[in-house]
Amino acid sequence: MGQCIRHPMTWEELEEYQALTFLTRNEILCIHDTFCKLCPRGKYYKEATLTMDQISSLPALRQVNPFRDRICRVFSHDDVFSFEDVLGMASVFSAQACPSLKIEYAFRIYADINENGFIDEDDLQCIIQRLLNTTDVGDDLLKNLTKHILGESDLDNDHMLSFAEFEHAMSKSPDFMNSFRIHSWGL
Amino acid sequence: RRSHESKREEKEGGNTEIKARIPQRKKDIRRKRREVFGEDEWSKAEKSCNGKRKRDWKTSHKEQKEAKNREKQIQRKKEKQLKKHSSSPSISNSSDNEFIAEEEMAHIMEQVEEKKKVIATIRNKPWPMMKKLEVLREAQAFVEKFEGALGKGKGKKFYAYKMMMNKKWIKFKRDFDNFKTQCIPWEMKIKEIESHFGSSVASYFIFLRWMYGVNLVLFGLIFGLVIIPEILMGMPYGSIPRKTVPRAEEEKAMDFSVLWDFEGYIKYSALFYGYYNNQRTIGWLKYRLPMAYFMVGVSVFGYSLMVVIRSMASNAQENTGEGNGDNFTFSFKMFTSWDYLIGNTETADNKYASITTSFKESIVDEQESNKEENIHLTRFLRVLANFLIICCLCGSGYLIYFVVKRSQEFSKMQNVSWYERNEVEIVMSLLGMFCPPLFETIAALENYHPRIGLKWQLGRIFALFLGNLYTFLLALMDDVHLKLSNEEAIKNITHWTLFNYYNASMWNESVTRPPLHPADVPRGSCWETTVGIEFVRLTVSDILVTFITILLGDFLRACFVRFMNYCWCWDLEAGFPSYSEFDISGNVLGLIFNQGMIWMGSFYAPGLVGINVLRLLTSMYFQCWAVMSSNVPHERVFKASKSNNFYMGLLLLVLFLSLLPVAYTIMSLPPSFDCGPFSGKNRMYDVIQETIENDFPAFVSKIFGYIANPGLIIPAILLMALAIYYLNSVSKGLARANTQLRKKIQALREAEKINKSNKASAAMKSLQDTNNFKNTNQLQATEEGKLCWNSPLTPLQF
Repeated sequence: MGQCIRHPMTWEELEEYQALTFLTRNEILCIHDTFCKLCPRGKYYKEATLTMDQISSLPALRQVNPFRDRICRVFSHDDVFSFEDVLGMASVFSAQACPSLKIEYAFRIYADINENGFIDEDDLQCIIQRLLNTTDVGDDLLKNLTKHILGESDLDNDHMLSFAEFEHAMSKSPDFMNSFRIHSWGL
Repeated sequence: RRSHESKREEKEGGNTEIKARIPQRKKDIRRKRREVFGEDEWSKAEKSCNGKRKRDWKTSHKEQKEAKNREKQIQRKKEKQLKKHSSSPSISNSSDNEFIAEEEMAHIMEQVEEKKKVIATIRNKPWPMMKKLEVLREAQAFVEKFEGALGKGKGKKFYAYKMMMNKKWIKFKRDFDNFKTQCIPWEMKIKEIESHFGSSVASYFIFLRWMYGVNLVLFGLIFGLVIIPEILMGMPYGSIPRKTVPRAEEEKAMDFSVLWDFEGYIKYSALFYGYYNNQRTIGWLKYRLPMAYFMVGVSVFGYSLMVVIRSMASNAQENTGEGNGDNFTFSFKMFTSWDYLIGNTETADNKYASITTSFKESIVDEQESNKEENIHLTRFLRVLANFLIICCLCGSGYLIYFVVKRSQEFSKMQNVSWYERNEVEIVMSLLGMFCPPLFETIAALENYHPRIGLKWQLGRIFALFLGNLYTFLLALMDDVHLKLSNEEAIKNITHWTLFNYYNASMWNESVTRPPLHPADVPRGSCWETTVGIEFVRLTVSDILVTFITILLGDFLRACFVRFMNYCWCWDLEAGFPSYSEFDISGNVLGLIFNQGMIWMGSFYAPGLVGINVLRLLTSMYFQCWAVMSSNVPHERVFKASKSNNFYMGLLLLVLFLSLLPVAYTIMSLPPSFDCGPFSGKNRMYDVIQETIENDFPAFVSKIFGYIANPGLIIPAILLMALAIYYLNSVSKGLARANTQLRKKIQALREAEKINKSNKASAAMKSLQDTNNFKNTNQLQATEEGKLCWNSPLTPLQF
């Protein structure tokens, strides 16, 4: 943990980031500060990258979040985070983000193991295990839940949830926008 | 043609020049950025050539035409290129030509609009940041280039100006949004609470903050339009009877106990109705105070109504689903139950536990809906429980009525003890504290599902508060009627006293005696001020009870559990008292009813809203501290989502219920003859009539006369009822069409599925038939059949 060169962001860059994300000016500056605190000494913030471990020291992505590794996978490039990756992640999780963006990224986070572009039964079982914080979930509970979920949301009966089906279900949820949010990215 | 070709060569030459210069510039990873810089250089170069070209164009018309055609061709080529990957050299080709044809102009404008749309919606795209940056920069460069070109020449200055104003407006909006988010108070506090306790507890604080905002606006209205004018421009304290403490009360008027009861000097201050003078205009501004008082009273309700309904509408819009969330219980539980805001381990553990229980509950629910228990016993128990609760409600209502009657007798006696003076408030607070747990214990008989049980509980608490409030009002009404009936007598006494005083003076001295000191004038009992005082006392006692409950119930309990745990037999933290959970619904209901009392009382005590603003402010800090220091996160979490609209609905109901008594008193009771801004009038609303007659031109009063005619109002009401009926049936029809469409989609999908499976089996069959003659292809065919079976979305190919 060192301080990178105190390169304050130029005004144009700040404006650009504001146009590209759903974050306010203060939020962008806060993330910039946090990033500079975490990135290695002497590097320009735009060229520095953070590993997954370093990112995990952010309060939102600490041990408590059962999906933190999925989040890191989805938003990083080649397993490292650049500053703009972190901004992109913060934008998706901000309160002002539009539903379609959140649903898109939620689908990518939940479409887990085989990453085949669908949420299939293995993915569902993995999610359930994470939600219950234990790998020791009764078999019948797992099967029951999977059956119910697929029965509700799987419209074309292929035992998988495609993005369209996921979107269809989540757009009806009153809680989705509220729960898929992270406020503060400061250390 | 030649000039044009040479121009193109120039450009290409220029391009290579610029590209050669790039390595010397600051290293930038993006190719497009280089091109943007290249373009900027371009436009400078172009402008210098432009003057020369202008002269060339003017000389040869033919060349002009040919060049125009060339331009069009290049333009079209450029468009195609833009669709794939916009490369800069071709863009700048036709950019700076003033004589661009009209259709090209329209075309370019279309493209500019398109690019602007891209810029506006780029944040919605799920692309990685680098790609978004590229697209943004390219689009911005394009827009700048063409807007610059389009803005040149006569008639286009307006366009350029418009674009500039647009840009400034967007920037201003963005800065204003940023500023707004900074202005919102207590944001950090609420975020902290959210990360510790989850979003349902934080929703209470967000509701509190919203209430604070509404009350602040109401306070501003009342303070600025009623209190300040009267204090600044009206008669000062002590000048007229209504503004002076009567002689009899003078010696005790400054005692703390009297002030605490809102008698004494406080009663005769701008906080209450009785202070205001009924002069039609006051001060040099000719401010119509009675009119202002009435209109502010009405607009308090109007503003509150508007704000509540707007909030409800925006909440309803967020539920984009058609309310068929019941179809997706499991999916929602799966994908939306984890609250990403949670930031500490304790809350997370609780969340895991609650998710586990909720999963198990839903499965059990599914199974149990088929089970049939001993239904007769359950029904009997439920009827019994309801009967007991109705008895409780009636009992509490009667108790309040009795106590209010007693307090009226007490007020006539002297030397009443502190308890007897405050009996009403104490009894109401105690009822509010002890009845809800009583209801909960009785409700254990009913054996409902927890969520349904919670709804019943909330409904019963609501009925309790409402019943109490209305009984209180009824008892107060009796008092008011009594006071009104005494008014005639007091009016006579006052009249004769004054008469005697002045007549007596004429006999004794030649110099006119000074007028009777206002403190000595006999005073009527001002019923409006009495009502105002009652509401203020009720509010203050409610505040005290809430704060004391939090201190004792939460903080002291937490201290006890924490410090006594070392020397106690059983584990206090896990066992009986343990730390308390934050009671969301109780607190929200308390807030709603407090606001109802404010709405009821603010017409008769303008200062009440100010007291409420102070209360909400301190409550925010106090409760934030109390929650963080003495409460633990909930074990079982109910989603706060739909309940937002439920609480708003309650608030709306309370608003209407608190409007009723005020409207009744304004319409049907005559104002006191010697206090308040409407004194001397027959009814309070006469002030409107008076203002229309005296201050507006004649035709306005005619118009109002026509509008107020029942012959016009009754058809208007009928029309509104018809409109409601029509809209209701339209919405029902739309909902029906919706369900039918959905069924159609599902049926279509089923049919497709069946079709595909039929085709697949037919294909398999035919393949197998043909393969009976070809042994070598057998394996391939079955593989093909499997492939066709597994990918339902790809068309079958034989």
